[in-house]
Amino acid sequence: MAITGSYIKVNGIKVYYETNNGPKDKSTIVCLHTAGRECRQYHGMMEIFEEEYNMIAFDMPAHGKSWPLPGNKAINEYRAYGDFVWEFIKAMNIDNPIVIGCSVGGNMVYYIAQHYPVKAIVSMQGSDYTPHIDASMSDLLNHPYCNVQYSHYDFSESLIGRDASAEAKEFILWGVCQEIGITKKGDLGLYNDFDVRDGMKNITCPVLVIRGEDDWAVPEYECRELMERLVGTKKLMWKSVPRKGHFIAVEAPEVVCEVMQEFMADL
Amino acid sequence: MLAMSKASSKGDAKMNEQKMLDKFNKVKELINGREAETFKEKYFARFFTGDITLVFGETPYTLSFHKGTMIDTIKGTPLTGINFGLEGTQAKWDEFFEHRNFQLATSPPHNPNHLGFLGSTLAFRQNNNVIAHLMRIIAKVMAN
Repeated sequence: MAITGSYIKVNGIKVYYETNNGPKDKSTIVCLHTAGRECRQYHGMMEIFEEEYNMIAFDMPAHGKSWPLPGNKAINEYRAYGDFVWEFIKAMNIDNPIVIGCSVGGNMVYYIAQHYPVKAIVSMQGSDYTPHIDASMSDLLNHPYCNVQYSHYDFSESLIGRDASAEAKEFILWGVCQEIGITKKGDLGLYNDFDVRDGMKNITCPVLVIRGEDDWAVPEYECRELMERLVGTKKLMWKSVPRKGHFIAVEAPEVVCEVMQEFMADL
Repeated sequence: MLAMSKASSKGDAKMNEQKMLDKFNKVKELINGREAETFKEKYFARFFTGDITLVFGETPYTLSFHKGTMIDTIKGTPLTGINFGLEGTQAKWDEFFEHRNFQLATSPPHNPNHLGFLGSTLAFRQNNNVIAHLMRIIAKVMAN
């Protein structure tokens, strides 16, 4: 295993990132994690791609091993989230990145492609409009009498696909146990406000849309609708993965890598 | 004639109530039996003592628990008021019994036929695992 971790300062925040130290002759793949979680979600893909692509995954501020914003805060606005991702990419001196993300990260790649010069994007379980979170849940994600790990356990479990391995399932649920209320509330708040539908026509880079079919939270019709709004993209590829769920990069890294190989072959 | 039909609908309602109570007895057998370890340990029900009220159409049933053991079911609401629970028309319940996805059944943004929350939202979130697993067992029993 060639994965190593390190820190870099981005806008004054100590940000933790990992890389598979893959070959530098092709575009670097920058990976965005799901809400409340961190960059280890990409270990499976990093190992598969270590001889072929250089991958970098990082923990957003207040996630995993990255420091929070001043005042122990998390980013809670989607434009600020997307802009921070680009600041990280700039700080790392990555040109022409392929940006991939899952869930809130899968949303964020659309924002980034609308505003920054990326080579391509891959959206897993993402959408361009997600008013999905009920207020009865989001208000209590950071509450002194409500434990975020405990109250959110079944919700996360319900998103996992039927064919996820026991190891993948355990890692995903361990991720719930490590969540921070402030961070989760920030992520799901900005996820709920996320709406970049108007800018979808401005995306010109190649786009790969992947969806695990067992994910009830991001229905297939949303992916179909957003793809109809991608009228300017050079290339659009869609992959629906049966019996896998919301955490597809963890549940099926081999499937995601195979589809990405095909997608990236002629970029 | 009117008196007879009233008597018969009263009789039907009684029969339905008895059927529901029988079903909840089956739920009790499962939750205290072969599901007990999963319920108490994986879904943390060992920390749960209290009542969960479920309203089917107009009819409420309250399930009482002590440290994750199901004690009793009554038709009606607790004298102390509803702690937390769910309500819906029979059609909404039937839909849930078919798909058995508790989180989908209780997510208004995803599901126009979602079940409604009763009582304390805080208690509902605090005990989300408990009610989620309980509801899956209820769905199995209701759908045979």
